[in-house]
Amino acid sequence: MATAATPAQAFPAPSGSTLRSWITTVDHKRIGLLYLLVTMFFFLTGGLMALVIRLQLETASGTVVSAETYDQIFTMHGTTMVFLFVVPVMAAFGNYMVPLQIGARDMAFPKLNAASFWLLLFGGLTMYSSFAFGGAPDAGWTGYPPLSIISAGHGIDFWIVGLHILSLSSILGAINFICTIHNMRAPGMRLTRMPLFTWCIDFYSIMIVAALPVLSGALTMLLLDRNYGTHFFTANGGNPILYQHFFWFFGHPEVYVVALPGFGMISEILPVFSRKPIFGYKALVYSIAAIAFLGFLVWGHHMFAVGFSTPVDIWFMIASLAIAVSTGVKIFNWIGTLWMGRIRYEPPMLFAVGFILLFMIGGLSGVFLAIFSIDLQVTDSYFVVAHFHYVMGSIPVFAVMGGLHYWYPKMTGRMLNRSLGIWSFWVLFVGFNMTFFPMHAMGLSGMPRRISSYPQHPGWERMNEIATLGSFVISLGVLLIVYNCLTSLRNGRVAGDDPWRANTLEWYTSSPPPAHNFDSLPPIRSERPLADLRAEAAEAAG
Amino acid sequence: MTRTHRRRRWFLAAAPLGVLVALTLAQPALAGTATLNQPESPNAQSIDSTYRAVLGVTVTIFVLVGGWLVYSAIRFRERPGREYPDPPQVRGSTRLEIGWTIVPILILVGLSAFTFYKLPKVEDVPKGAMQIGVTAQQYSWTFTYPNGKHPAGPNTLVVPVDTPIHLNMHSKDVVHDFWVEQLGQKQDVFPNRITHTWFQADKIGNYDGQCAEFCGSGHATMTIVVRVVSKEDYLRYMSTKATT
Repeated sequence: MATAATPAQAFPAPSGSTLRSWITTVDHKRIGLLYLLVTMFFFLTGGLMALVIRLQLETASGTVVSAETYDQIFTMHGTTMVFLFVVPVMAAFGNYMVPLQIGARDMAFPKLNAASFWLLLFGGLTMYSSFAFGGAPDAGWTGYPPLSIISAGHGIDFWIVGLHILSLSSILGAINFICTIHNMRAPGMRLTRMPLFTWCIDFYSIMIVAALPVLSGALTMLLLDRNYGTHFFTANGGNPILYQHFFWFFGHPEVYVVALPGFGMISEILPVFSRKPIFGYKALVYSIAAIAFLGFLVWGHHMFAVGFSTPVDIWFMIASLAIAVSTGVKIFNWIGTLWMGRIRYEPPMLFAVGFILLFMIGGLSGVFLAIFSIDLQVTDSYFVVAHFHYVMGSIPVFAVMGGLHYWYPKMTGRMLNRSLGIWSFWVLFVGFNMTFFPMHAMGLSGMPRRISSYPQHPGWERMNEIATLGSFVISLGVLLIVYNCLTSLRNGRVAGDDPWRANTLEWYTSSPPPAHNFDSLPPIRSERPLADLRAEAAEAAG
Repeated sequence: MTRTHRRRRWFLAAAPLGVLVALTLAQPALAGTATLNQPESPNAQSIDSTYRAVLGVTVTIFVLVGGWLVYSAIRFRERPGREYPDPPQVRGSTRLEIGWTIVPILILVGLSAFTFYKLPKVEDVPKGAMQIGVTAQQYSWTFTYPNGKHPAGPNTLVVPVDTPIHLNMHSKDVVHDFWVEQLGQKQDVFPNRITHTWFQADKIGNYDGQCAEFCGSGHATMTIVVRVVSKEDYLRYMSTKATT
């Protein structure tokens, strides 16, 4: 079929599967796969560090690594998981799926897209090279000054420069998503007919563009304080609390940057496997928008222990509780989608339903942290660690793995092994709760986060042993998924265009899609063009 | 109605009851793990009662909504070997959606009101409190008493029972955080800034705490012991030990 030259064709990349073709690619699908590969690699790296943390805390005396090494490991665990896994893994799926879901040929700026990916890789490598140059960063993923200013060596400098590169990667990627979604939709694909995952990537991008520059600014000031004698955040002359405001003004929206695409995946999976439309499409879009806006007004709930005046405390508490309401709306709408449905339990659906249950625990424990008087007891304890792993951990381990099981056939043309998928879900579900549920109890009994030992409290050992055991169960689940993904590439059943009888445009083209994505597009008259097609076909058949 | 149907009905009725019985039986086992450590100061007690109210509400919500989720997920599943028609294509219900927006708002307004009601006892320092200075540094706590002395050595604070204690805290280096859970809320401690917290221990004994803000490689060793003694013992202690 002859088509006019599009910008991507004007600079043709070599095709085929040579290494050169992958390195020079500007195809959004290949870039998506590269993102997926690299983020999964960092996920496994961050996971290995989590295992070291769990082994260290298994006994009260904590003798596996030294306190100094422990500090580096939990800093890099947090930094890796947040900046090199959960945020960019959303860009992996966003890259692959958004142009397909809106019926576009590619992203708006294909070469910028490739640049975003390579910046991610080099940002990650820059940060990790600190291990080879005298020690990794050791001030926590939050990097609070003055500790991060007086920290010896260059670990923190690597951390700052690495984060700068990663921020740039995310911001460029986000601008690309916004331009793509708002300019490149197929005819008929109105905003009100856009798949919910694409909606979520839109708000994910808007939040990144608004939040990450604030982090970059704060990090620049930190870098100057460390190396050039400025006093933005120093103990003498600067204000360490100002950094906390900057950090959390970025940091809390970051939670929703991670959460929204996860919500989007769940909102794609549930209707397909319940054989029903999503319950309350508009309400979901409104609640996503509300979360994206309110997410910028609540940063102070990370800082109650700083000692605000009561009116400030009350403001941050009310705003945080308002987010709980819009999150609640989502959960009700998801259950409304299941209600009276015809639920088929393929692995993606198991992950989706499991995610809702776990996310509910994380959401409800968040109420304790929003109410500032309670927060002052449980903040900076393992209760917080439990809470944010039920939120920031359940999204990648359940929502994203659900998305992976859902879209793997589209990306590779092969089905994942079904029973292995079901097994990995249950192993992960058990392991996740074993690891993180006892952490609520640790925090309530007084265990602060970020300690490398607790010799004066042998009573905390039992709970920690359960958590450590659980972390190895999680590892088993992750290995099962990796094994499944690798072996199914060759041995998986051939998927066909639309193995799930799904609703959105990506399932209209072949699996994997050709470089130009679509030969033709169906008419788009709702948010479920493929369901409409099936209904028409059924009607025509009588 | 077939036999399996009847059995399933029976199970559905019994399941919530079973959860309730299990929760009741588990209560002694949950004490201290599902709740904060035994509070021994008015501010800690006030936070504890707010905590328990929120725990009750959130656990109820979890059982109800989680139960609804699990019920729907099981009840409407497709069983292999049967043909099912497509389910009714319901797209939403404005009335329901408004309902499940308003009900959570009301619940949260209620919780906020209860929090405010309990708040004065958390924040307001009783009049005539004993003023004690706290200096934090990597990795120890030093306490300075009203007479300017700090007799107990680092990391140990000796105070009389039933006496309001007001702590004026600052740090010599990085951010630390004073936290003795049974005696109330955390408070960050900063360089070049005085922050405050208070407690009034109502029972004689030793209370463990430690620095709660990551402050470097010795963070785990930065422990606090508050020794609460009788008023007589406190006076005797101050007169004999007040040497440094």
